[in-house]
Amino acid sequence: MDMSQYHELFVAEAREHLVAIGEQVLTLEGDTGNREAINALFRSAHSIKGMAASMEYGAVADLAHRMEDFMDRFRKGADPVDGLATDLLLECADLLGQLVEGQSRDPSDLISRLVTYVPPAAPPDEDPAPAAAVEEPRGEAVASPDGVPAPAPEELRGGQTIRVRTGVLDHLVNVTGELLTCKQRLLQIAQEDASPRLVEATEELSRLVRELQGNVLAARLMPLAAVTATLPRAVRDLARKVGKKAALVLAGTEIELDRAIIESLSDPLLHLLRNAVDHGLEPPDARLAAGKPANGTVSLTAFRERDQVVITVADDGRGMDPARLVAAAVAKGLISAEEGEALPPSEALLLTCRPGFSTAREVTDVSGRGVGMDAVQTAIQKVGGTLAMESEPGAGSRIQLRLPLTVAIIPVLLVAAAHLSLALPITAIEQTLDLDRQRIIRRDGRLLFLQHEAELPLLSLNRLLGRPLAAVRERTVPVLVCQVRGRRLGLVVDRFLGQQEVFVKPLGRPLASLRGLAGTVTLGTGEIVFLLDLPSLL
Amino acid sequence: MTGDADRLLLCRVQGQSFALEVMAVAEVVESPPTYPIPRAPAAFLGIMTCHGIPVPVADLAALLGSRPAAGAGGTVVVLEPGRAQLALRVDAVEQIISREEVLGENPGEGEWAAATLLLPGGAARLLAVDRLVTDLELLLGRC
Repeated sequence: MDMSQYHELFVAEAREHLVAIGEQVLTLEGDTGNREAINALFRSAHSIKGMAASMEYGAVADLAHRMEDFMDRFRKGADPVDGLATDLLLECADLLGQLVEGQSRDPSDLISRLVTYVPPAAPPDEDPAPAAAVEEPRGEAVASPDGVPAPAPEELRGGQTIRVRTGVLDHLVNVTGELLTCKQRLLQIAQEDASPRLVEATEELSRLVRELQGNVLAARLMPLAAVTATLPRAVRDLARKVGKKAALVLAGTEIELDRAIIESLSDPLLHLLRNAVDHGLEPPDARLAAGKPANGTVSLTAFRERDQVVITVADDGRGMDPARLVAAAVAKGLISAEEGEALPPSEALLLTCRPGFSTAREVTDVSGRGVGMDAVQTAIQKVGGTLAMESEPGAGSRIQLRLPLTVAIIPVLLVAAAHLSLALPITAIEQTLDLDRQRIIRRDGRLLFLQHEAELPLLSLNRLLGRPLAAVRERTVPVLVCQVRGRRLGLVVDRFLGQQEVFVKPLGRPLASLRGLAGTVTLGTGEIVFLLDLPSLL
Repeated sequence: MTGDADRLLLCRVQGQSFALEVMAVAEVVESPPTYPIPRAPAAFLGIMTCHGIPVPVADLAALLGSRPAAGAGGTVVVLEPGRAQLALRVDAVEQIISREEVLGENPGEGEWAAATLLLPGGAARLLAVDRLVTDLELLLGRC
């Protein structure tokens, strides 16, 4: 029988089991007698073995089988789970992951270590990095009278959910987006023709499209846990690597976001955690000297606030010193000494998001060369999110990400500039102003304006788009206040045209190579306007 | 019977004949409405929609070094979306011929020429579409 058609399904399910194995091993590191974790590990290894055997993937089935045997020793209580055993299980999970992804690896050495494993005679030394805490258990393991773990509740319920190819979901969103555009065209026509029957029918269509949109977008939602499940393991490994003690506390990871946003969060979240462990947390002796526990705490919490999800990554480490950040930025020539003096402390923290900024005393192979915060902010803004920072020297730092629930259908502000209509994601805009021209300051050939006691650069969107400045005769100019690549600034436009919910279509080859454009939007008039990508425009 | 893989679309730009493999072409549209593309070079006349897909229109004459057309008017050859989201403005589409009608083939001469085709009515430059799209990506990446 040709099993290749089931390969994709096998990989997807095996990945889920491997994530669960990683979580359960970390739980066991903190609680060596946790029967639920032992049973869940056994069950995951058993499932992978069964699936791989059906697919005739010998190496995967063999390694999973040996893991199952290995876990059975602990399940029967013959041996206590020790630190060396959990290390070995994590190695197995890593190798299984590589095999599942199609890499050619020889598991014989690891299998031999599993088979010949002898637990340490004496209790092992205290683990240098305690197991990271995972907030939510993945459901209770239910054991049958003979001790064989029963299937998870999800397996028993089978039939209530089905796997759907992501391409189908993407197509559904596209069709819904087209319907939204079409509805807006009809609304425009209904208004122009002043036809009560058409207005009534279009309003009914609007209601149906909104309902469809809600359901289709809901089908694309995934829990944040899809990208956070592997993070406790990453924090554990990072902390060990730099000789620190750290635990990751997760909360709110059941919050759901669009699949595209979830996928784009993987690298930024990992980078924020790396920074927290590598640069934020002090070494254990320094923490004890500062009156803190030797174990540092890094937390990742998420909650929903109206149409946004707020994710906060916090640590209880040394915090950031705004004065030191300013001095470093001046020394690197990123800002002038005068600009540095004018920066309020909250703005100084954002200097870390400027390209080329790093205050790490030395480059480490954990956090690299400090190029990360720029990339983190850019990635977050690319999906329509924002990044904010708070820090207190000696007490720690908090990075807050605000994300939309979806990317395909978003609210935008339409503006006129450079003789064009243009769209900007609402989430990219802090404020819109009618700025009195008398508040504009000219210094060293640059335009600035005062906003909440901070001097912000004032740029022209026309200029950024390579068009001449529009002649301004009015007393005020329309300005967007936004935060781009670690700096707050004002953008002068010709006119504000209003807000609208739109369906954004991505640009393909070759136009996607043009900086500053994130996609296109078709308005109710049929006009195609571009969604701007400010970070790449500046 | 001749399939799309064996057919060529012939068009004319500034008095010269060009050929595109029919497999690379999605549609031919007359004077579609277009909207300006910010920051794009002058050879990009604007963006149009083809079956819901946003497609930039580039003036083939301008890409080859002539002055860009005043607007997107004229005939627009929309490329297969799988190859690129791009349409080329040409002066006219002449006909579709079978490869069997090609009398001979010489090495390509000039920009994006995959070959010079010898046809009963004269020579035509067979456009290397993938190379053209790659070069446009590089051009736009420098803007």
